[in-house]
Amino acid sequence: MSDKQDVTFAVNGDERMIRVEPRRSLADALREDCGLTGTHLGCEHGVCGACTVLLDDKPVRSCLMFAVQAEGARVRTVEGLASGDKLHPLQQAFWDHHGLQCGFCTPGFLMLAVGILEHDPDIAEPELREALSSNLCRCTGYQNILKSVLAAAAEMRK
Amino acid sequence: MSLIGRSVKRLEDRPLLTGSSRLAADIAVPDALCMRVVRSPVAFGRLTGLRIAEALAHRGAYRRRCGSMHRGVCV
Repeated sequence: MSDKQDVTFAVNGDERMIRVEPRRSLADALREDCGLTGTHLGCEHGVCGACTVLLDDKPVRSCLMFAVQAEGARVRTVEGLASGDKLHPLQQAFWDHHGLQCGFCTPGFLMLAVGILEHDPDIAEPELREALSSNLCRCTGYQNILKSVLAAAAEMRK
Repeated sequence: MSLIGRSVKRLEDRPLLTGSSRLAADIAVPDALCMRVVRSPVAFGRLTGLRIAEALAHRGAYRRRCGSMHRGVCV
C-alpha cells in the first residue's frame, strides 16, 4: 500500500480535490470519495460498461482507470445530466421508450450515449447499434435502449 | 378512464435515470473494513490450512475469524 496522493479534477463542473491511494479506481473515487453513487459497478473489469463516465467528453470505463489518471480532467457522471428538474433528452427518451427495466446499467448507457451523440449527432443506426454494443444490459432491453437513443438523437438535433 | 390497453409511465424511473436511486452497495458506513470472499477453484476440495502471513503483513490488514469456514484477512 502506498501513500495517498492529491487528485484535483472537475466533476460535473465542480472542482474537487480528493486524497486517494494510487491504486484507487476512478469509479471508487467517484462513489466513495465524492459520494456520487449514481455511477454503478457491475463487473469491475471493463466488460459491462455500467461504470461508464465521460472524461474530457469521451466515454471511459471508470473501473479501469485510476483516479490519479483523472488529474486535471473534466469528469461527467449521470448526476450531472439533468438541469434541475428538467431531464436531459436522453434521460427523457429512456423514460418515454422503456429504455430501462431494473435500471442498474442505465447510468452507464446514458453516459455512453451522451458521448456518442455529442461526438456524432447524426450517427446512423447501424453505427449506433455497434457503439452501444460496448455496454451490457442483463435485463436484455437492448432494442428499447437503441430506440431511446435514436429518439433522443432526433430530439437533440431540433 | 381505463388504464387497460394503455402505456403507463413507470414511477420508479426518475431516480434510476438521475443516479439518485439507492442500492445496498451505496450504503456508506464510516471506517468500514473491506472484505473480499475468495473461494476455491477446486470442486469438492478440502481446505486444510491458510497461508495468510504475507497478506497480514500489509499495513491496514486485519484478521477476522467468524467460524472455521470464514477465516481470512480484511483491509
